[in-house]
Amino acid sequence: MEDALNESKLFLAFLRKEEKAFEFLFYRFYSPLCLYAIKFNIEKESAEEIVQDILLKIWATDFHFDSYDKLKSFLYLSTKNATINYLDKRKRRLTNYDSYATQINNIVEDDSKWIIYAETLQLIKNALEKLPPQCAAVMKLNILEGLDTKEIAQELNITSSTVYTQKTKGLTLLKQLLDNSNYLLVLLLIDTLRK
Amino acid sequence: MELSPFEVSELISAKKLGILSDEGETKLDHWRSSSAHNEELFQNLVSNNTCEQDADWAFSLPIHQVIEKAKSRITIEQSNPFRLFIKKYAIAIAACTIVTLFILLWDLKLNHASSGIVPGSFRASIQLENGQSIQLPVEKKYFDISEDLKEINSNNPPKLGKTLTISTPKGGQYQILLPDGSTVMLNAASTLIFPEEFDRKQRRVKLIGEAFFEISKVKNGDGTAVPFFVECNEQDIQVLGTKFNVSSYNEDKSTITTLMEGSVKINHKNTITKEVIILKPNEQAITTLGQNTYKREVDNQSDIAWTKDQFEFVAEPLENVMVKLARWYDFDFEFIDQKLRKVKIEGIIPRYASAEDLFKLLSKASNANFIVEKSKVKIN
Repeated sequence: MEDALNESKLFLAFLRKEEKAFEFLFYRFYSPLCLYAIKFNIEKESAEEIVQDILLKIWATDFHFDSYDKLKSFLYLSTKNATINYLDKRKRRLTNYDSYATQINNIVEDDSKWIIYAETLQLIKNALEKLPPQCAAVMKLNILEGLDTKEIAQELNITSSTVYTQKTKGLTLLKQLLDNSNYLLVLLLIDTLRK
Repeated sequence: MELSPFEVSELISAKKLGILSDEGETKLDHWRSSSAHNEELFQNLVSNNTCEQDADWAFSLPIHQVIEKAKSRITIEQSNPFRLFIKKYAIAIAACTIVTLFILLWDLKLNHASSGIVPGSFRASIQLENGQSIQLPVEKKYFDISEDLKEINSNNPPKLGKTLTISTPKGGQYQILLPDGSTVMLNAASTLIFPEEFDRKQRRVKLIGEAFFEISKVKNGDGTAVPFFVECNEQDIQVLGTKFNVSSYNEDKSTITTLMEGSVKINHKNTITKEVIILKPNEQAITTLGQNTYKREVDNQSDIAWTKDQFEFVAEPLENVMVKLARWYDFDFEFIDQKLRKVKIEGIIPRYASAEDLFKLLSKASNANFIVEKSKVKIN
């Protein structure tokens, strides 16, 4: 899905510190990084603060990333480290070390599953956002909530045949996006600029 | 073949969307069968309970608002010229991640404190061919060779081949208007050697230290352009009409030429290969003693910040920062704690900040102590 972005113009825009890349950075990573951070059992507000700081920092510094994947790894690693730092600081105020120990255990345990979890959901969300609204609504209920045609029709108050048409349309559009990497890129750019 | 978490995410999301290619399907199957954990994770993700509470929360965050807030944080820091900001980051030992970076806003106080260290000013001296050395006026800020030279040297008419030398001390800078209309801004502790009148076929000057050149185009009687050469330690720079900065201090061991406008040709000195490098605007050529010249792109203006009365540091080791500051504030320094040499400094400092403000700012940025004793600074 994201092959299209690899070595892409957006990544270059990021390296050149263009404004659209700043927005892209937030639209693309804010949600999954927050989701990842709270998997270490920290409060949602703290997670948001940590992620905001990381995205601002990465923008303000001149680290060089020679691939998009390295940037992604760096973001997740920074989030993890910042979360550990945060827990470390808070530990001093704790009287009960057990809960701290559990949290640290959670971190030491293979955390790549949480990266995959957060990234997968983000990619699905990305793709669905490219679809026209009704089509996206149908696909969302179908893919993320597992509803069948009948249930979707009921939920959205449309006919079963409309659901069927929209599902087919959605699938075709998504396949096109996948086939035409430039198209995906253009869409992403337009999206980022429009929001 | 090991897949990265990001590749796995791409495969699973495509699978869930129903658009996974056959090739992707094979890769995904291989990943799933390689461990029970993987299979379990896959099953969790494709089953339909992924829309749990945490995910709902994460994916309905008001990102637009967050961006607006973040943008305002950035612009405040950039737009207020009376504030300084400095950012510092150190590289952690284990993970290469940012340990600390803080941006600090701090009002520039204009009171110049008692310490013996003060910022530089417009000071330079000219040495005539007969060895006579004359201080140039402090209040004037620039020296026009074709006008001002007569005043100090009235009984000697300009002559081809006569050499003049203008030098700035530590803590001095000066602007020179050459007889061909080109200007040279000379930074601290620098020397420019040039003829009183240029040759018709080529204009040639010699530089030790740092200077910003604005070279005007000059044509010969037959319409051919007269090239301008800057000779320095490691490079021989050839231009027609451009703006560029050259930094070539003896103690820096490397010469850096940064081009702002036009184009320059750099002939590498002292090599057998006779390599020639052509620079485009925003490119720089770096030659280190005994090594080849290389070229790189620069998007920041840090190398010419000094011409705008600023120091700009981009992830610069503290020891380099101190060398540059010492030239302008005219002090000596010594690192008591050797580890501090490598601390990276990032930020902008006005060149006329008082020494007190300067060291206060630097110590906040680097966690180092700057102990000022007369004109010596100890870093601890």
